[in-house]
Amino acid sequence: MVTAKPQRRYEFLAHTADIGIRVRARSLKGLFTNAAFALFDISTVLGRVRPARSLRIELTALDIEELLQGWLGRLLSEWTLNGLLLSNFQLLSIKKGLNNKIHLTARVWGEVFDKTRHKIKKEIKAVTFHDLKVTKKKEGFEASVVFDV
Amino acid sequence: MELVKITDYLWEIPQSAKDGMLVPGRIYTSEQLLKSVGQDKSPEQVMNVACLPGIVKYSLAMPDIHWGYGFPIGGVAAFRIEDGIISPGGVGYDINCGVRLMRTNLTLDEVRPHLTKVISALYNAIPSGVGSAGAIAKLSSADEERLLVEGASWAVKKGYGTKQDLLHTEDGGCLPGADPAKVSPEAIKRGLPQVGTLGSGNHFIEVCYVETVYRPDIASKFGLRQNTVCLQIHSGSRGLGYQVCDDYIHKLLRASERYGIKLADRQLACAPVGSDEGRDYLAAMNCAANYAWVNRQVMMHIARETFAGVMGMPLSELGMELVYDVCHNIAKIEEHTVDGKKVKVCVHRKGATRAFPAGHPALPADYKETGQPVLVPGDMGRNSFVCVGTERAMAETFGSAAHGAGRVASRSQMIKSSRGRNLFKEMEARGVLVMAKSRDGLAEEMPDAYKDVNNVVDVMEQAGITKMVVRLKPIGVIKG
Repeated sequence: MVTAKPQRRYEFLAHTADIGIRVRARSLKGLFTNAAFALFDISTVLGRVRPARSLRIELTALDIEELLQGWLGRLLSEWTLNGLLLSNFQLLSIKKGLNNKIHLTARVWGEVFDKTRHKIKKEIKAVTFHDLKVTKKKEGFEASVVFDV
Repeated sequence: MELVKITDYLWEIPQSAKDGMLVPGRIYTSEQLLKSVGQDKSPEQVMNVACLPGIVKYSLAMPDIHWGYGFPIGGVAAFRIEDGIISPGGVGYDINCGVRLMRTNLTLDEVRPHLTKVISALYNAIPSGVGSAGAIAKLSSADEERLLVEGASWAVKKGYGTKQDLLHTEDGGCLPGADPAKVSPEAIKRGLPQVGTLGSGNHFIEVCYVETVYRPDIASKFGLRQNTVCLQIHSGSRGLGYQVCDDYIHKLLRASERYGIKLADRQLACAPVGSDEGRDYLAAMNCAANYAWVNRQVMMHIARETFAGVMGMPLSELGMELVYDVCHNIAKIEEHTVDGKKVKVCVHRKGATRAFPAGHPALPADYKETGQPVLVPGDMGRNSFVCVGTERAMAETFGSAAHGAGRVASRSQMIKSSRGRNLFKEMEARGVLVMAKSRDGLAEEMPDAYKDVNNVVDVMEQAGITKMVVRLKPIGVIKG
């Protein structure tokens, strides 16, 4: 089902109406970093986004899939609500809490959209839950995500 | 996948195909179109919908069915009010994405010499593309809250269009029960700059003409004759709608757990129609639907003034009247006949158009005898159709029909296959002048990404759920 390999950090899956991606990494933190990279690599020309501003992000979810959707949704809302394009992502921790919920802490960098320098390639409307999977593989982790465009 | 042929234009997925299916699945299609249905996951999505509580009769799919998220695109399902559900994933992110068709007094020969100017002027006048903004200057939050409640009539009051436009808009351009208090501040914020903007993706503005008239009596009631120049606008509720959907999928995931609803796909998160969560979603969704109608109403007004300006004629002479406006991503409480009894159900149309027959009380007086106009836009190279709904649609599909041609190729495939080609020249060779904000965006929407809408409409005609009135041919297209 893989149709293109524009970046090693993620690849496109054939989805008829929207955009599906598959992300792989050795660690969960790497997986979340690569998924965030994919979101903004599809949306903009990342090379033009400077890490001028940083933001700390904390999230809690019931399971790893909801955490991934929540993470990407949160980053997307930084763009759609605050006009912030993000280019660097550092996952500080992903761990299970006492209540069995999973907590994520991260720091992300980017800058406010500037139409003279930045290019928007694609409007991602939302990060869907459809076919959302995070699986543990021998060599690390793999996730598939469908973006509504 | 077991598909049982019922007629030449209707296939059934038996209830036994998957554990948990409460009703069978039914897909309106043909041998020919079925080939593309088998290639994606859309039949599986039809089965997933058939598992949702309170579903009535069938989990249906129209002939433009293709792989969506949660529901298939082209999916129709009705749920009992007492024990059925409502699902944001059954409506989609672009709440009340829809199409409106305007006719003019002009013929193809009269417009053709001015086409480049018309398309450029429309392109400049109506903001389009990713994050397009700013058609209405300084919309206040108070104004936004009013338009969420009042729908298209808010736009008319502000001078964007006429009262007659409202009569030719599904539900008069306003769903009752819209409550802005149920819309998050984030959604309100996203909605502020985007009223009157086209957006991106498959949204478009198209100048076209009537190429074929199938039913002249009905066509003339719609103001459509051979060679009449028309305009179509396809857009929805923009960022506000996306945010409402996203907010409520999260809320309804928790609700699904609370009410013990098992989901085959989390995108199908739902709540009982009558629950607090279900009612809250409906109130917020109605706001987004009303926003979408205002959005298309404002764009139509700008298009009228722009078109008239280029042609150098007063609005009255241009005669750009709204034929009809349909929404094709929506959930509504409607009355339908189930097991011989009239009952209220919650009908979800996810990429499907309402198709009510002649005589239905929801129709405006001048369309009472014709039936509701069903607008079926195709790809930007081939055709679009105006059909009307039938009694058979009322009996079989909860008064629903296809909403377009339906995609067959993925966006990444289309971009790959477009490399090295001059897409604008290709479209020009097909007789269509195209302006687009993004080359990749255009590549993704090229005609070969879609089924031939002629085949889709033929299935509906043969199955008896719509009747063809006219076929339109594009001459100029603006892609966001």
